Amino acid sequence: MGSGFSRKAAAGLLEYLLGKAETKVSKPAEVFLALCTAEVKESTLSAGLSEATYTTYARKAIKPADLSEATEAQPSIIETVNELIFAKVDSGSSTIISWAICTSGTTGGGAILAFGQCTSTALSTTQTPPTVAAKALKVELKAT
Amino acid sequence: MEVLTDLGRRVLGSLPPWFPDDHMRKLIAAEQDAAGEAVQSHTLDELAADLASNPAAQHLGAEGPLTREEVHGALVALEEAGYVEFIESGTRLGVEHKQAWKMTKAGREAINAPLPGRPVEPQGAVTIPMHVGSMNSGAEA
Repeated sequence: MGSGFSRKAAAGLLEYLLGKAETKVSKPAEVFLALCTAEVKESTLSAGLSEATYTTYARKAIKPADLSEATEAQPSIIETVNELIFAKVDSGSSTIISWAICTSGTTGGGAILAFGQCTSTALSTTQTPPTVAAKALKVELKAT
Repeated sequence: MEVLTDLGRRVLGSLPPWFPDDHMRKLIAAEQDAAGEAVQSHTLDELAADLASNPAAQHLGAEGPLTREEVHGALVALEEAGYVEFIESGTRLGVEHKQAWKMTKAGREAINAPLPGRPVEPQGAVTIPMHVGSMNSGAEA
């Protein structure tokens, strides 16, 4: 006997977690993308993230309109449909190697909803603004 | 010799970040509340397994994914630079470490430090190459 999420349930969960649509509980109005200088693990708490430290760094809001519908497929995939542009780096620099989607826009605050890696990328006053291309940020949920 | 190469940075960044003791105590308490276990260090085997499944680390080894020996070599170089420490056995802030590698304060400062030799002339937007975030229900058929 099998168990786990159906493809539709996985799609519904992704849409709920990332603020696209409601299922049984209310969805967040928006979620926030954090850029990190150390890896994020499943046990990492938001207060334990090592986030970028350049002076103008702030988590970037991802609004529902920035997200696709989650696909009813295996795995179910949800992705950004708009470019995400962070604030320009005014001073300082960071090299980021991972990302996290959080419930709060406050650095170190809220909870982590999803996370992943990125190619090691230097952000500085001459390499700015940090940008995530449309469709570049994807989160998938495997149903089994 | 440059220690924070792509490989060194990825290995260092795969260890739990160093925080000041007061922040770490709160974090450990919160981790124990949330998951029942505070993870503040990794053994070589844990780190090697972690990096082997890391999509951003698949090209960092001499022949593709990092081997256990390559991860160990990177850790030794990071230790010589003072960015990590090896704990044979011991307890820090109430958390046990055994045969474990731990990020140091200097390591945390290094991964957050301004980049040496960055371009002086503006180069424009930097596009971040993201890897997919994958979640698994963990269900068994």
